[in-house]
Amino acid sequence: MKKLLRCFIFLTIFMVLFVNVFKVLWMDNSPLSHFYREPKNSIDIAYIGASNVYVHFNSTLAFQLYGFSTGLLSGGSQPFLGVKYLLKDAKKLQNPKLYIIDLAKSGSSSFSESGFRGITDSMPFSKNRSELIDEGLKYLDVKKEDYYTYYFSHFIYHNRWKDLGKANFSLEDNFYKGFFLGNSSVTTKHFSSRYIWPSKSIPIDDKAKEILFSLINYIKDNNLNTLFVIPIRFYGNEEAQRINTVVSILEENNFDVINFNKVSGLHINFENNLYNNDHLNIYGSTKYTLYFAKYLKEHYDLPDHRDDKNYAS
Amino acid sequence: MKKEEIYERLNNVFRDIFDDESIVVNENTTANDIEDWDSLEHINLIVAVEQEFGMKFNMNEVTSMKNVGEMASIILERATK
Amino acid sequence: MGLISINFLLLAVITIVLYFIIPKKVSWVVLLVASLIFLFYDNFNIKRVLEALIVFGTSYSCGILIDKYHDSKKAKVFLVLGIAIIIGLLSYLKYSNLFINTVNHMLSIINLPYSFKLVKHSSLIGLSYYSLIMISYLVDIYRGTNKSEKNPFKLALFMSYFPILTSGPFIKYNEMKEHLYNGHKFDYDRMCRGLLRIAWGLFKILVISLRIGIFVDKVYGDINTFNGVYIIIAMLLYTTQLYTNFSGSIDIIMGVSEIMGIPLPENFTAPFFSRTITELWRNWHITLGGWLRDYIFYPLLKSNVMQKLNKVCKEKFGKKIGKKIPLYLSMLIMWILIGIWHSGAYSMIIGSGLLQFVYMFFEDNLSPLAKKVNKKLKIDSDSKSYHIYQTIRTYVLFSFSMIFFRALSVKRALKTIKNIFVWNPWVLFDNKSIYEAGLDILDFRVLIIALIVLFVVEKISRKEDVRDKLFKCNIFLRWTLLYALIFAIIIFGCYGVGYDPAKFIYQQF
Repeated sequence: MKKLLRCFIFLTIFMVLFVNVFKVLWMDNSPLSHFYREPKNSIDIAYIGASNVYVHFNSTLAFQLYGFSTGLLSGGSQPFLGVKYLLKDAKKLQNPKLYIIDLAKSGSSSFSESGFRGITDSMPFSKNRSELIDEGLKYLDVKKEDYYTYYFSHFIYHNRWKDLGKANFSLEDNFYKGFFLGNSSVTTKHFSSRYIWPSKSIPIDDKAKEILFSLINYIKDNNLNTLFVIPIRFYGNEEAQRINTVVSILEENNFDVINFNKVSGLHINFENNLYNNDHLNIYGSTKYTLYFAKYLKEHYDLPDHRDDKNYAS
Repeated sequence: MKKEEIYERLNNVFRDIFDDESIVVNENTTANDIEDWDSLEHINLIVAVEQEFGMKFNMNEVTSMKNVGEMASIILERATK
Repeated sequence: MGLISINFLLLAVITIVLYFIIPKKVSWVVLLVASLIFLFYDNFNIKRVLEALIVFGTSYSCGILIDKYHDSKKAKVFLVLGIAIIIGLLSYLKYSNLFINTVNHMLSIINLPYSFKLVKHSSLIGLSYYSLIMISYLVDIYRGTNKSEKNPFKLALFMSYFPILTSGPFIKYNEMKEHLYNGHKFDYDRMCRGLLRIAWGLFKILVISLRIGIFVDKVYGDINTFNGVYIIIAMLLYTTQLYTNFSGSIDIIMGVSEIMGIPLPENFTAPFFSRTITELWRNWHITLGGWLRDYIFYPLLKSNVMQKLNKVCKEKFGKKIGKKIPLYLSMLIMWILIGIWHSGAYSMIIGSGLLQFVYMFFEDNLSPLAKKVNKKLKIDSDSKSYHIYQTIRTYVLFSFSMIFFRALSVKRALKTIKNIFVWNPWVLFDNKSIYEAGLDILDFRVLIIALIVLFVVEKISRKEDVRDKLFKCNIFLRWTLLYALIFAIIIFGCYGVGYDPAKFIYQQF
């Protein structure tokens, strides 16, 4: 009996130490992690998608101008498969008035391991998370014995001890509320003209279709208010043509879609508003945010929290 | 054959094998007591003892003998000369 | 199934729990089932089952027959038959490619434009181990050390007892039967000891061995870029990598077994504190050494042929040198066999066989000379500093031979040795070069601290049982040390994302 008690105390102390050590070592600074740190029901818009979301949309600027809060649920190369699961989390935690879904990755069902981990590693443990992992592992080429590394990823990322520094004990980093300030004013000047969006479309593969319809059904079942967007940037020709197919499916189902590549009021200048092929720089993103935030304020009924003390940060 | 006789003859064998005239073995002598008695020299010793007493150890005994006392009691049991 | 994998963890936990739940009388059946799962988990196919069945069937039937005809000549017939079948199968599966390579090489020397194709075999996990274990089982019956096992399932358990199939230790039937077949009651203290041993094994493998492995792989993978000092460091580190990997595996194996109350023979006793190569091999892979001594070296030396040779040599060369010749011949044969057992590659035969023989030969013959020189130069060979020098010398010599063990071919090993002689000691001092070979400065710091911990623990282990000492400490010190060990493994271990899955150097044999 005494031994049992001692064993129990040993394990309890171990768990306490474990949790605290990991809090420091495994400080998650990914863009997505910022969303999970927001207080409950404080967000008006959930904006979901790959890097174009956190690089293009400056949520703080939008807040300063119009007073609505936007949560960015994004990560580099975030697979479209993840959208449905992120919607679920956003609904559960924030129940926002509007869900904006980025379509840049919607044309294909293939995705990288790192993009996938970008979602799962930042999601807190939940049924939703393990369902996403179950689903994602069907698409990835992973050995069966390595499956656990997805479910218990926090534990697997222990080699972060090397980066241990002041940042691990605080939240200072390149992201502000999930918006990336890193590639700020870099300008690449070799784009002479803007990307001309193709009119043709080519079919998407069956798996991508499956992912898309599963998302559509979820949105319809839960009666969510959504807006789909196609970010402004360069695309591979087939990539854009596949997105056209996605757009026509969405429009058949009466969803709103904005293709920013076709919007003229943005005034984005490809010569010096791009960071690289796929991303805007700080000038481009400011122009985009100014336009899009105004659009959102005008078309949707969004509250103004600017005088609310709870939103002071 | 008496025990004393066995030890006396063993002494001679040991002195011959290990080239050390000062060796005196008793029943508690082990490999640790004699500097050169390692696993290599062990077999030479065994063979020399076998010849001296006209008997054979079996392999099991060769590998499990712990001290000279055990050796002597096996010899006592089956020596022919 | 690797020892560091979720699968092994699950198998071990489930086995241990069931082992204590099931009535003591039949708890060995749990071990048997676990063993079979372990043996065939990775690639279950008819060929592998057949291999195991041949070895098993041979040992089971020959064992009983040797017992039956104990006092007649037939016993020897069945012993030879049994060994021949097992060795035949082992050599066919393990060495046919070595043989084919040799033949092809000879053909190419005499300019014959023909070569034989290499044979493909399934994974050999377990085979090298259970073959030798079953040979010892048969020989021991013949020698009368033990009786044959009549219950085929019990024998199957002895042959396949799961923890030992990947890297030993070698077990003997008469030492194991009581522990294996009689169940044990759960014992809390024993469990703690077992878990501590497992944790220590994990520390050795995850924190030390795999970390060194990153460096060694990088250097040996590109010996033209990383030459001179890099190779010397890699050479010295590789010995520790091999040791921590191998002995760490053994720690895990013995820890699991210990929790169930089944003690296994020790395989290492701090080998790198040895002052000679001979002493080192007495403390390194002890159970393999014991096996070779009991079943090859002694019988060979005692055989009539060797005894006759002994006589002839004594007459020809005098007593002193005369008796050494058969001894060296037997040693040479044994060392070549060790090399062959390790793998079917010539570099392995040289590295873990011939070179070791050469070392011991010189150690044996130069020691009188060394004594004289020391006397002349007034070097005190009993002083502490001299012992340290001897220990370091032994470590370096052993490390040198391991270049052959590590290289995949003799050619590659020779190239490696050649590349040592490039003068570039500045890579140690320019504050960055050394960190380009896979391990950065932080990794090196962790490694050095871990090696100091290893050194201290091994040093203590030569005098007393480290676990006893730890469990005698007061609770604050004890728990602090335990938590430190556990968190060192969790934080600094090389596993998970960014590291190759733990791979075991010694398992391929």
